[in-house]
Amino acid sequence: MTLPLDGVRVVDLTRMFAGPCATAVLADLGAEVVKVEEPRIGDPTRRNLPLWGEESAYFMSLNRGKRSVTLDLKSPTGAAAVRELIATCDVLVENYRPGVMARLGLDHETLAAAHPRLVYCSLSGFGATGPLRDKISFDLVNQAMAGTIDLTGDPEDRPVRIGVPVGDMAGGLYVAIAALAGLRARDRTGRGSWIDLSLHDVLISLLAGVAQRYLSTGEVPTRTGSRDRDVAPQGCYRASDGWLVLSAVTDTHWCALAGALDLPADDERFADARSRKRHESELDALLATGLGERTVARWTADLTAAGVPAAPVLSLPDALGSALVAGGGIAFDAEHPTVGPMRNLASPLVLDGHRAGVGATSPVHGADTEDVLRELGYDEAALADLADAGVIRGVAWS
Amino acid sequence: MVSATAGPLDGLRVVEVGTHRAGAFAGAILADLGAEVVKVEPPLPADDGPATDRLVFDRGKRSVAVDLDRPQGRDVLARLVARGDVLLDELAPAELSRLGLDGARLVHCSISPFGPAPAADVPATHPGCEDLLVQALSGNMDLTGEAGGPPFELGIPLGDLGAGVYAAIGVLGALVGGAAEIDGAGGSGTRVEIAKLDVAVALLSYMAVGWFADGEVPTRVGTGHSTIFPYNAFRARDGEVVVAPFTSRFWRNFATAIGREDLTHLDSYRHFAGRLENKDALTAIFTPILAQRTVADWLAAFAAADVPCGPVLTVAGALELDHTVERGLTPSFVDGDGTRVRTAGSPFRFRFADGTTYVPQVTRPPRVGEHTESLLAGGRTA
Repeated sequence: MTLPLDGVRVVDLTRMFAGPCATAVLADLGAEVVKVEEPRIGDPTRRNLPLWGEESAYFMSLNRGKRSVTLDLKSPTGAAAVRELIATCDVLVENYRPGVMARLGLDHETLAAAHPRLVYCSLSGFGATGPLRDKISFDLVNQAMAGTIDLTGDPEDRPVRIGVPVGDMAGGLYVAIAALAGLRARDRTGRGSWIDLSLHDVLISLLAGVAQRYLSTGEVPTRTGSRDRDVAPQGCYRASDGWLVLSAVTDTHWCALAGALDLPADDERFADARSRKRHESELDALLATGLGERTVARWTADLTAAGVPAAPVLSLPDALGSALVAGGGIAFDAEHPTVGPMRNLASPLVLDGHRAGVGATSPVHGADTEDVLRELGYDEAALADLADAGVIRGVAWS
Repeated sequence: MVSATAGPLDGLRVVEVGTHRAGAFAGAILADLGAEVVKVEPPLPADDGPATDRLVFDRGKRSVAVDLDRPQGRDVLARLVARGDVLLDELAPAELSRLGLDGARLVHCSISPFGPAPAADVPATHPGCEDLLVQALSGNMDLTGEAGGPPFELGIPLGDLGAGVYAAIGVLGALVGGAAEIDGAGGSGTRVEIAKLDVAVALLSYMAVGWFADGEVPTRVGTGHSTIFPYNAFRARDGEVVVAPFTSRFWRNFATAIGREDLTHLDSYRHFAGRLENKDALTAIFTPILAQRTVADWLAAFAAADVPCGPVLTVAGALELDHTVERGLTPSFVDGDGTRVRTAGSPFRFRFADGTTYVPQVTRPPRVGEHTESLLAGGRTA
């Protein structure tokens, strides 16, 4: 099947999580992504544990469907080669700290002069402007400073980090949007663009509803456990053998829940969703007693049968093995060139009935160096010179 | 900073119907980038979220109010779809077919909570709790919380918002790939389908593939990380501060900044693996030290010593941060009643090759049905 971005070429100067996530999305959509890596170690996440064979599971999860080219960008010949590569590409994605691309002579102004149609995407922790532009960022730091840690956990206890890498992933996804919007504009106007995205800005944007609550009312939202801010009951409860979530905020669902738990249906405190919210602690105590008497499986079955939204809190293996997730087909098996049979996650996007990203594997470090450079016109002698000079990864190193 | 330049999605026509938070967020992203987004909604919209949500999820859109239970209402929808390039919805297949929207020849993106799963596998649900169910069923909640304590819903509704983000990606991918817009030669259209559950599963990323690789089950670890240390929050005298000094250089800087440079000479803590292995012992050493000084003191000390760090800010703290305001992330618009409303802005900043720039400008959300007449009149002549 033809994919939407067939024929689009992306030069990928990113490492770690957020940048690679962005270019993985573009690869899922059919773009040819050429990942440029430092010759000796490459993307540092190639060494992240656990390993699968000689490859890192972390790296494999974020680099499916890409080609890998090694180039030492600090050497004049490596810098020249990457410029030749950029000349053949539609999109450039980089996630160096602000200023690094300029030191490499690859800043937007320089490249835009030579390639006015290039869509150049920069992603950094805090962006290219503003007082924190040079601050070192990690997902933890961005989550802390965008409010998402304070928003997560028990209001009576210390906050916790969202356990999945939300800041990095959201940053990557917004880069993909920026690149696609930049391509659309270029196709209509002929003008390329530079997009300066920051993980901080993306997380601020994702505060959406809670941000507006503060900005419109002055109330400072903080963590609620897993409860809704306005209506009840909705949240996470302990059953006899684990945790489940449920929601009974509509009057229909509330009556069904009260019936299932044998709670009095005519208690005025619980007459409507907002009143139930006002009396949430009494309500939660009643629910805790009832729900503690049966297992998660029993309650989710009984509540679902009664029409009440309810679900078990599943561990990662149970979630991936569940009929709902497995049946959707987001996990797939593939044959990695050195690891052999392996399993990976594809994209949540299903296009014309086909799930994007299925079957793609990550490249071995430098696997495509010679092919890509040959496409640019390098001959065997030139490749040998680059390998001897350490500008590309030589065969003898592996 | 005012940008007179047209946005990258200038001229793109998007129709939103039957959307909740996820689809509305996708529409808002496209509107921020310059698309014309028409929200088709019932004359009396359902009350399924806080009143302030409309200010941020529907800003910059147009509203057409129609009753889709009546044939005339469905005709209006059909006309809007006929002049559109993109259709966004959160409707079930049966509802799409009742509205005559299946087989529409444009980029058509539908968001559902669980995808096309057999009814027996799907929980009862309603729009306000889909995110909670999705987080529970995806493994995201189980990974969030203190070790040994309860799991927690993520502080922002990522199943919903992430699905909106992916919808924007899917729609734009299809458009860039040649699904024609109305001013081009007729296209065949592209169907884009997104399950919120898949979006939440995608967030498992390396944690899922790590489990595929070695069968080690990841669990929740508070503010920490299962394979990186130090990488967590500590309680200072007046609040929480996060630090991430896990590389050799940052580790030396951190140990020195807290007055325990001696730790860096011990073999057991010399390497990353040793520090990770001994994280409980090290945490017991750090905790009382970090508790002695204020967040501001520690941030100053860590900044001077070059240690990755940050304060744990509230939503208010994050929005009022100088950096946030200076980056233009809290823009404002004048609402229908004349009040100035600040909002959480869009992160996109474009500089085009000719030197012009585009920064999304926010405008107020429409009143329900505000554009019904103007769009229908325009629709006839278009």
